[in-house]
Amino acid sequence: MTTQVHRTNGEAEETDESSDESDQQALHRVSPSTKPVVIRFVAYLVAGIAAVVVFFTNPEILGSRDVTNIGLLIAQVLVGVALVRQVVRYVRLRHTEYIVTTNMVTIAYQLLGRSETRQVPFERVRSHELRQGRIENQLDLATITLNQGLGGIALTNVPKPFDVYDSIREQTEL
Amino acid sequence: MATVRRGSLVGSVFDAVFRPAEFVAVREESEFGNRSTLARRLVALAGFYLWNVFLYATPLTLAGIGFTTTAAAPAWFAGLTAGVVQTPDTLWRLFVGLVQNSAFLTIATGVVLVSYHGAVALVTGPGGVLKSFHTVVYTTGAYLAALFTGVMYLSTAPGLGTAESLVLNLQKRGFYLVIDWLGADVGLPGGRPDAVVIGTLSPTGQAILALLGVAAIYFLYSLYLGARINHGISRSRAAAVLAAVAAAPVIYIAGTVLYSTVIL
Repeated sequence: MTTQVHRTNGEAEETDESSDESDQQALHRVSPSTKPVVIRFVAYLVAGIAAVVVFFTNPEILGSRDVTNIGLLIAQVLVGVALVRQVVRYVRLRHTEYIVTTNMVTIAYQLLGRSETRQVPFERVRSHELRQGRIENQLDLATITLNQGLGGIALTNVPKPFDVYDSIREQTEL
Repeated sequence: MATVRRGSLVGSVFDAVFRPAEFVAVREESEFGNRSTLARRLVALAGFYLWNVFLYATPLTLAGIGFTTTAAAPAWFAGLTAGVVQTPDTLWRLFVGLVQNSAFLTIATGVVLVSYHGAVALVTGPGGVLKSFHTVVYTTGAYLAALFTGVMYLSTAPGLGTAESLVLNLQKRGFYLVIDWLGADVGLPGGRPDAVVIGTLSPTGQAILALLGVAAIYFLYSLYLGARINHGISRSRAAAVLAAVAAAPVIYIAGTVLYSTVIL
């Protein structure tokens, strides 16, 4: 196990302690960008509306009215799930903070009295990786993954990702 | 951000619907590395699968959907349960119903596992069978079970005859597509399917068929994600793995046709 997880409801001594520790030697304290999530949300919404318009204006596009209705229902469910997923991601990212200290990387999440911190001390880091998708690349964001496949953590939508990644690389010396 | 959700049923359902990538992903890859943790993982996965099959089959059986039996309990079963239950026949029917309702899902899981891992092994080489098992257990336990439940419901619920005919017709058309392609002189017992009068589909029938479509899309997408995430293969190769799984029914039908024409 290479990741320490603290979950609490309400005020949490454990979380506060680790936050204090992070404050003392924080190299980076960043909030993830929500722009990719907003872009995806708009893209899914536009695609969903386009699908509905196409199905409504061509009621026999799939061979018959009933089959087109089934196609429309499928599109609505899939787009609805995708939109809800982006909303959940947005809320989660808005309440998340990434903290890189000289000792560890911490993901801190707090919402409605529930707090959660996931920490990976640098001495337990076995691998690190920086990835940029198309949207992230355009927005100068990236995802930094530590200990992938070992129950590690992923810092998504990190602003100025190369600065953060360089710090992690220097501390881990991998 | 990756978070642990598997601890709760609600969390698992949430992941299955909204985060299929996290749902099928192997979290602790190190557990697949050495023999002691490997065996533990295998047992845990098998237990998880059996639990899922139980959760799938029990409501179907209790609701009288799917396979049911009216047979009396055999003597050995009545003797075994004597003193424990007053009506062994009821328990026997429940037991037989559970086994029969679980059988199709279990067989389908086996077919998916063989075709999925066979394709993965062709692409990545041998090894990783437990990762394939992990992927197939999660995908079949959630999405294929949902698909089967919908089909079972269609076949037994009143007022959904047209939707049921449509699903049966699709299956028959699939059979005849392969039969015609092979040029074999065989046919299904009921003959070629008649055209279904689509205009009579009820809103409920349409909704259930749509949910079947969604479950099928989730099932295939989660297998694709499993190949991408758990086996670390490229998009095109993962798509090839998916094609192999989708081709499994075709291979099965072709095998059945060839068996009945060449061997019999």
